[in-house]
Amino acid sequence: MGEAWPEVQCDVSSFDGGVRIRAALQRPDRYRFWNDKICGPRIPRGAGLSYAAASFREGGLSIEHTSFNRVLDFDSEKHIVEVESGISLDALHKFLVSRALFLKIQPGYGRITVGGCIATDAHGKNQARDGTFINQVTGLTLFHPTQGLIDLDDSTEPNLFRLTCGGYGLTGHIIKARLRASPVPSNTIEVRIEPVSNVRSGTDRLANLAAEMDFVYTWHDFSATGTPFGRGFVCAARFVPDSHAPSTPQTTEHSLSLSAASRAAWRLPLLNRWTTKVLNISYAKKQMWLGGRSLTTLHNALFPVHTKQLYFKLFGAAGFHEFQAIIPIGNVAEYTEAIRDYLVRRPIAITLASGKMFRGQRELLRFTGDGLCLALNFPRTSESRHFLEFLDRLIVSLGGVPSIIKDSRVPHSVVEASYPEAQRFREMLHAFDPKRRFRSELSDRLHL
Amino acid sequence: MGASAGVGRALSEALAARGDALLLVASDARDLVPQASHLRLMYGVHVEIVAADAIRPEEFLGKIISTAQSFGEIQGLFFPIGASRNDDFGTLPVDEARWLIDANLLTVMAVVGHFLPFLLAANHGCIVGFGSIAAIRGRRTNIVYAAAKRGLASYFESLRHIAAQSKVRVQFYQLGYVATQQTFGRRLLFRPAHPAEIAAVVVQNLDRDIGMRYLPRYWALIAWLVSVLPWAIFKRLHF
Repeated sequence: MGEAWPEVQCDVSSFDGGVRIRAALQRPDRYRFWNDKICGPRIPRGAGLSYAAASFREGGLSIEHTSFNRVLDFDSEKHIVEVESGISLDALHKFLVSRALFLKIQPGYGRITVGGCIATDAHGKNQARDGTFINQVTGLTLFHPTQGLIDLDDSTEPNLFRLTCGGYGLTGHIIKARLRASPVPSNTIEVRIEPVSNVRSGTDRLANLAAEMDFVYTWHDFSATGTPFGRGFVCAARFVPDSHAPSTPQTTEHSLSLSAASRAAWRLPLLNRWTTKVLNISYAKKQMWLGGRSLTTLHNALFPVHTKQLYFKLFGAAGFHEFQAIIPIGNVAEYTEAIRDYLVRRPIAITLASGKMFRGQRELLRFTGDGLCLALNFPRTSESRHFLEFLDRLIVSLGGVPSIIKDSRVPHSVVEASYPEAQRFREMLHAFDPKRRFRSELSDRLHL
Repeated sequence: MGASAGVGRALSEALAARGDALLLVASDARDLVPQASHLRLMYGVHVEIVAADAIRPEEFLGKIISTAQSFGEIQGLFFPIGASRNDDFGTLPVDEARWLIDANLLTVMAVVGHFLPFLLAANHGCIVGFGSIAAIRGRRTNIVYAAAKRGLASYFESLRHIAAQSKVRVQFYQLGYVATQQTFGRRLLFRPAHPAEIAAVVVQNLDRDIGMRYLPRYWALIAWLVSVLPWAIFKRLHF
């Protein structure tokens, strides 16, 4: 007997609140779903936490993978785990850590799915040393309505594999993935906070620390004016023997409730120029007050957003912007000075400015390259669009790369100018899927 | 039974989490294989699978008996299974009505009928059935489905009577809205319970002689209100 899979029409939005549209959603939970030959355009969806509208489009059909969330196989010698793509990072971490393993490369929120990490080629806490998520994917199973199930890895189907990892879900449904985990040296992480006077000195410290530390990033205060602009700290962390662990366990269970809808639950924004200034000063003082050295658990170090879910709600229903870009090291000073000059003229509440060192070969539409990856957060206001247009021009002129998945409005022209292989991505995608069955707001906007 | 999705899948996880060996039954091996692998890896329990369709009771039972012989002693039977149709308005052809009765009632009877003597002889174990609030009172939709589920409730009442002098627990849950494919996308009066919430309660109650219970519990009040509603009002309701 044929089976009609229920479909719900719902309002969906990107996590940053920039794209709000109506789309159809299906949430299959049985493998026979993949028998159905759905002819219309569709797009896979994981936890729906992408900042950009990568998992839905106006009038389109999104297929949510979260019911396919199981561990399928585990090779204890090779440290390879096979999972369904809808498994969350948190669930997978619990499985791996009980076997003294973990994924080195993963974003900081546990509800994100493995499929989402592959589709966006997410990065982790030390991209310069570890690379991006593709580096720990040893293979995957892709489903395409006309091509069926395809097993991919970097040696048998290298082009399709590399098109899919960082392909924003446009090649098909990632059904299963095989991931290489790494041994956990210990469950205790020593965190060192080191003050820096500006982005340039922070970048220098990042460059030195990236090779020797397991987790490393900078935080800068962009709400400060004058000389203090960009002051902040470097946060560098590494595994230390568990004998150093604090007597009181620091791991706490947090309810992972963050979604695009819950983020926007508070109607009014609480972050503006004045509150941001106070919060940034308080945050910096707290970090300094905690001292140069503290201990935390691996779970807390891997998923720092679990304790910061409130931060995203403070932006209110209007939402926020993240502009994350890789800037060639030689142009970092020019980039930050241009931003500082802009902010003097047209103040914007920069609620977060955080840097990570990046290394890698630019390829297709994956967010990688050599340089400083600087992420900026600011509230979505009437002024913010002008600032983003300024940042678009600036990053292109300095040879940088903006993140596609962290910005729900990055224009086609900016991607064309900053991703040398954008056209190659397009050609490979059309060669694999001439009818272009997988579409999202992101793919429409970028003419993919 | 019904371990591939919804309450059945959640129940298999809850039982595996407490270390129970499991023989999972569902219609499609493609769903059973990953579920069995997952439970073995996550909880280190022994899991075997049977792919069988509940709309064919004899074949369903035969496959279970065959696998159960190598599996070992069966100490509990869980039936979070069922099937419904959108066109169940009282005009179904015989074959399709039988399909609903087999899937919701006769298959359960077939399996219980086989294993009940073993459970009674061992003087321990449990038999857990699942009904639906759709069967509280006959309505103009889900007619055959509700009749089968009402029959199932009666059947479990009888089973409890049979097992009353033994240590075999017979439990029957009348399920309200549960977040499954059946409720996905539907506008409902109440929030559907997550299958894991249902499974947690079922496992928690396993050693208790609870008889019949509504889940979530507030459905007991709703069921009572619906059952005492005067016919003059009830006949006007469209639900």
